[in-house]
Amino acid sequence: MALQFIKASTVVPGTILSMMAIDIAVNENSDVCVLHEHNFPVPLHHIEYDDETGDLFFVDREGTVTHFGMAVPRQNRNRFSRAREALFLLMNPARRVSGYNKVPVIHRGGSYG
Amino acid sequence: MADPAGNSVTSKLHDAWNWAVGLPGRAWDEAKSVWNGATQKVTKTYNDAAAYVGDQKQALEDKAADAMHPVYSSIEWGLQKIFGESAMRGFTEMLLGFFDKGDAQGFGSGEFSEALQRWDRELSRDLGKDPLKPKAAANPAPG
Repeated sequence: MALQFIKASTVVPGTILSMMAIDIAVNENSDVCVLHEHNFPVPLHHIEYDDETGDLFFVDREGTVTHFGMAVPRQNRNRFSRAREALFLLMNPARRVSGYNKVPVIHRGGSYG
Repeated sequence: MADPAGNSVTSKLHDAWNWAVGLPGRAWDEAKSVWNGATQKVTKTYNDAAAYVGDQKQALEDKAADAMHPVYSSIEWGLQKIFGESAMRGFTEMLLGFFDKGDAQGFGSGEFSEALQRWDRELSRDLGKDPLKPKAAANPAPG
């Protein structure tokens, strides 16, 4: 079956989506894969997912928090709520992978135990 | 009176001087010619050798690239050139693992949705899909 994809309808200034082309995929195992166009100005430390609102934030090593630019679509939230790690793939203009990194996924407002 | 003896001596001295002056000139020209010839030969030999080594090096690189390309063609073999084979294997396993776990869902700018769909198709095609594994190892004979 083909990958189901939801494209952002608007680009909000100051968000990750306004900085570069970037797509996120999540599989049934809640593995997260992020394809992005440019290096981040400051390397990422982790991403934060709000289990209640579906909002997604990128946090860099200087502590700057930036909203992804769109909430995780409702049909992806069950999968995202179990995500623990994201594989970041830096894509070159020929759409080939030129670098990769793994970043933890931290949950906001999740109930544990 | 003319001084025939003196004139004669002067004349001979002039001849000797001209001969002496002319000799280094000819000798230098000959030496220069030999030097230039030798230099040209050495330079040509060096250039030929450098070109030969360069051609051989390029041919070997081309041959290596040709041999490696089919191995990595189903995934992004440019990564191998940058990070080396162990990192490539790690990356491959991560990517295979990702598309191994059911249908993926995506969202974002949409710029890379085609790449994601292509990987999903190519890497989910069958279970013996690790391009770094020999086929016999990926599909062991029963029993």
